Amino acid sequence: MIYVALLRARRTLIVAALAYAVVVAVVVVSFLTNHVTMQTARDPRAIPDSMFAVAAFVGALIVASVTATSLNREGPTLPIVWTKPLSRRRIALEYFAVDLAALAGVALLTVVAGILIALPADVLRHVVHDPKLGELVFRSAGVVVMWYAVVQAASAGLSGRGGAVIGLSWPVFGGLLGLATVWQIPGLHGLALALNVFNPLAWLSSTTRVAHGAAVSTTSSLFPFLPHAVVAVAPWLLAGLALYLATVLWSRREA
Amino acid sequence: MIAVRDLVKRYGSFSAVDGVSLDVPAGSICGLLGPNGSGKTTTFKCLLGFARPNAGEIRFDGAPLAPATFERLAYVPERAALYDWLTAEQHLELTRRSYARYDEARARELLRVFELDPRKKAKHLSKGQQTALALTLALAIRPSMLVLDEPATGLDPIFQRVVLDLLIDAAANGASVLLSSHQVGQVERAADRVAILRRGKLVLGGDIDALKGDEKIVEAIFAGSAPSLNGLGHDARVRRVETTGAILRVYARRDADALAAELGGLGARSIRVIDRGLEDIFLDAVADGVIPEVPS
Repeated sequence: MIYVALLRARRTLIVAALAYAVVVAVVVVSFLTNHVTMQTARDPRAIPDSMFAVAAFVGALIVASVTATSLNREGPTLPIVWTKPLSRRRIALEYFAVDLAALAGVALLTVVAGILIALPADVLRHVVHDPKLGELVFRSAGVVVMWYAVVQAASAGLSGRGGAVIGLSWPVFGGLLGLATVWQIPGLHGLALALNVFNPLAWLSSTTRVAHGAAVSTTSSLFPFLPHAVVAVAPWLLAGLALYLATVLWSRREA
Repeated sequence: MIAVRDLVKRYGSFSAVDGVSLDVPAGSICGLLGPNGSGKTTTFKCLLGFARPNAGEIRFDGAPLAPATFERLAYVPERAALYDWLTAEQHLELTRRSYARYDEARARELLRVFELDPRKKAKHLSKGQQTALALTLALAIRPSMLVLDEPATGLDPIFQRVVLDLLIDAAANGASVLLSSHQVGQVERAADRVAILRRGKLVLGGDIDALKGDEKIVEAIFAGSAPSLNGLGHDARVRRVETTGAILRVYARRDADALAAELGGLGARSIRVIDRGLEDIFLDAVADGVIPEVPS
């Protein structure tokens, strides 16, 4: 079944590449015809390289939220999928591996597109290394994978309705984050925090700022009381748990 | 060899399959017959692991279903489960990558037989062509066990005949073939065994020739209305009696010739003795001979 997953991933990457090509072309043409100037070109200031990581994160997250129902999408073709001489868990793992590789590809495409856009604006020379780039990439990637995994888990056991899960994911995750902010009464706040454990956005909340001419990244999350390392690793662990749950639900569903 | 023992599948309090047992030996074609909702598709789902049975045992060549079983077992669902966005060629490639037994030459031959364009996407194929592609994928792995749910759906009579010939050919080469069909004639032509389901229960099963046995139909045509023969219905030799205007049909369990002679003595204008077909056996099994009346 890896063949189908690979064809889907190829299609995703082609669509992403075409979309970025259009954006890059529009920006480059605009610069070349002097319709656009950048403030940073006249007033140089440091741009942390982690900005590219943030852009890659956004690109990958958008694609993840669309492609995360690959198991659910097999509903009509289960008679093909489940009659292959492979265990259902192996098939699910193949889908996960290819989907996540495609998300990494989209993130890479986003960085390339960002560089291509930065070139005509002549801002690349202002880019400085953010010492927390590695950590930011690790955490952002964890959040993307967790988003993918939670949506897989929510949709894998369903017959159809994958589109509804995708459509609801953004308002649900955003709404849960809002609840934690709005519900400040101790009991309710605790409940909101508990619900947000399974919300990928709750593990994000990172900010990047520039101070004294150098890029400095600071990170915080909805769980400031947790050790820094736990906040960084938690999305990965939760993603693993969600993917395991998705595999079990999908394997046990009846066609 | 496909063996099913005491299969039970319930959905809540409803028994979709209730104690079904059947065998499909190597080299045999078994037709699974039954009215809509009789449990045919649910039986297939349990066989293939798409549904978990509540009780019973299913064995393929003596072993329970495992992923490796599908290296030898092919399934053609009632509605061809294809990827709309893949071409026929890509479906073949998917099959080639999945099965060690995939036979490229056989696949090409079947594409040619069914006149399928390998470059066409599944969504651009007609329903019959989609069925043909599903059959191609199934037969391309030269399976030793074949399960087919309405394998001739959407096919024209010429290709229906081709499909039946392919199944007969597969069985002749030692495959166990289990197929369901609403077309009793197709099953009668291809199958040597039959299993008839009604409301989830197996009501009749076994070798078709043995089931036909000595049973025959004695059809007598009278000059006016057929005489009322109340006693005949209770005769041990008679399964049931039907009267339609001047025609009297006696479904004989045995001694059809003697019954024909007796009807001749009652003044029948013409009498003929007909072998019972599978359709008659099927109708008897699922409806106890009670056929809905056609409004005049």
